[in-house]
Amino acid sequence: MDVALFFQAMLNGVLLGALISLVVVGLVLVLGVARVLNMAHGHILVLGAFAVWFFFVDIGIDVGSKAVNFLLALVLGMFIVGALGIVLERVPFRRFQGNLIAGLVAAVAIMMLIESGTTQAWGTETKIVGAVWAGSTDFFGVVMSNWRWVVMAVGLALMAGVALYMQRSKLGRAMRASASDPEAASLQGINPITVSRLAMFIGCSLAAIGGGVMAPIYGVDLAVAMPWILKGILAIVIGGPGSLGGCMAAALVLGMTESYFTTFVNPQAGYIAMFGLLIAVILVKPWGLFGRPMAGL
Amino acid sequence: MDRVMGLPFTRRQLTIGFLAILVVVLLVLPQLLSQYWVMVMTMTAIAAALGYGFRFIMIAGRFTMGHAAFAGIGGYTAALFTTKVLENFWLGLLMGGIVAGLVALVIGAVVLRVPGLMFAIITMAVSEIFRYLVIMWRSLTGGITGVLNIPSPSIAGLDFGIDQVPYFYLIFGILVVSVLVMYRMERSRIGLTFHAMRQNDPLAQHLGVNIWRYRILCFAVACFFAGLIGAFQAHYWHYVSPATYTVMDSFTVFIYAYVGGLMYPAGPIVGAALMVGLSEGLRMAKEIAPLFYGGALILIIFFLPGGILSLPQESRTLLRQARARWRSMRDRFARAPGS
Repeated sequence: MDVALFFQAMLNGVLLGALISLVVVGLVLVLGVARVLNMAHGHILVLGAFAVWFFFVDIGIDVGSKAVNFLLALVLGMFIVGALGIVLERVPFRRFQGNLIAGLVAAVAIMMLIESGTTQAWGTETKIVGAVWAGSTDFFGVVMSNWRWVVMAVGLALMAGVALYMQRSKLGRAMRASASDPEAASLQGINPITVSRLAMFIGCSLAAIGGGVMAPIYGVDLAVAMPWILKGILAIVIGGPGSLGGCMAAALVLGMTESYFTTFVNPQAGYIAMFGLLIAVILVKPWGLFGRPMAGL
Repeated sequence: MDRVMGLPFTRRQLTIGFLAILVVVLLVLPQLLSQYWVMVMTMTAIAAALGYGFRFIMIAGRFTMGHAAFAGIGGYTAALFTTKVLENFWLGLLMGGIVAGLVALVIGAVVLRVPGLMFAIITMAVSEIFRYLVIMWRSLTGGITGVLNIPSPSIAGLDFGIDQVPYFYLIFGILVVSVLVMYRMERSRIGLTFHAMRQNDPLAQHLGVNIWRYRILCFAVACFFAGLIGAFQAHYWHYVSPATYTVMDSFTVFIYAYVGGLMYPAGPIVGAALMVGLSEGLRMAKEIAPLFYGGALILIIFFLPGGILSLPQESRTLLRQARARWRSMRDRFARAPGS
């Protein structure tokens, strides 16, 4: 077997895993704190991609080098989508806490609104965002485009950052407390609304960043929304709804699985393998590998 | 025996009478309307039938996001049968239903043990696996392009051809049969166990209900009919492709049932009629349709979560509350100082 190909697949797997991780963190936070499974998360990710395209390509903001422009577009997109997330938390999600079917219906409605909104504004063709750094780098026989290295680094850094934030910072611990026991947390003086908003903001911002950095690789197109939310859901179900670390690990495993099957068999097999993994895990451990049964699910 | 509003009929007689009139109207309309409207009616019937199957599974306490996929299984089975084996639509139709039902049986036996949310996600996974399997197995299924040039159904040598009308009668027949079967099941003892399972799993078990067997039965029956509908669709549009049966399509089926009212048997039918009728009837462009669906959904969740059919109930409650509030205000002012 081609060793270089093996490592290439592995690296690609880490990249994919980091991206899935960005999606799943948002899902876990929102599920744990706001108690809603945000099915619209994939569309929020694509909104981030649209935002980056809008600022970087369409308007073409220019404040310095290409990298700075892209970064600025990314940050702007992050804040806008994060703010949208807060609006979403306030209007539909808080009302349908506790995982009713209504939450799912609301998410479906949001997805449709996002779809028609973006197609009305910008049409249906896939938009292209040029990578900030073109070309590719050879690292011990493994060749990957420069931009993919960047994305991988960004993804891993964000994963570590979020993990640290949730562990150490005061707000992070507040979110974890609220997710674990909302009543006790409020008795400790943690405002559930604030924490909900924060979780939603962080989740949506991360998804937006993910979408933004993915844009040069996958293009800006609504069609990628569904696969990504599905991968996020796979990760959260395999990892277990209560455990952020578990879900990140699950995301990495999913990324590797997809990468290996895609490289050595074919893309569809990769997808099928991921779903097969899900079914296998659920049958053995219905609450996920690291999850605890959540009340009200 | 209580009479309705002083009329000399029972509620049951009124319902049956109403349905009979409705059926007659629906059978006569295609002869009077243009081909376009008959197409709209056909699409409504497809949506209604799928929605009803979805609701059937919902009654037993499970939320399926793979209903479109089972229609797809039926559709592909029938399509492959009539194009590669024997050009007999009716056999193909039957095969489509049976294969879909069998697959549901097998999958259900394994997967229905799992809590509701996980089951919903697994049905999503199954839907996507089906789609990707079809894409992968290009030699059999034609991959992304799908199966083309599927022949039209024919009775006694007469081809259906391009006339919309016989297609409508066919799907209407399928709709009536599936609704009848599932409705009778719902109203029988089997249906009572479904409702029991939905409301309280452990309690139903304690009362002696074999929830696994009944749930699998429910799932298999609903998916059998979904397969029939898929087979019809394949021969109506004359092609099947993986893009026809996605998770979003299952969502749409769910929306029909939800908008109409999940708790009412007529719910999915009303919902489908409304959504398909309005979106096709008003000739909405493809881009606006999601906006319409999303907007309708939001309106329903916020104002009428029980669905459209819950309107009489909800308005009665609102009226009662308004009347009570008025009375208390009036009484309070009657006892105002100075009287």
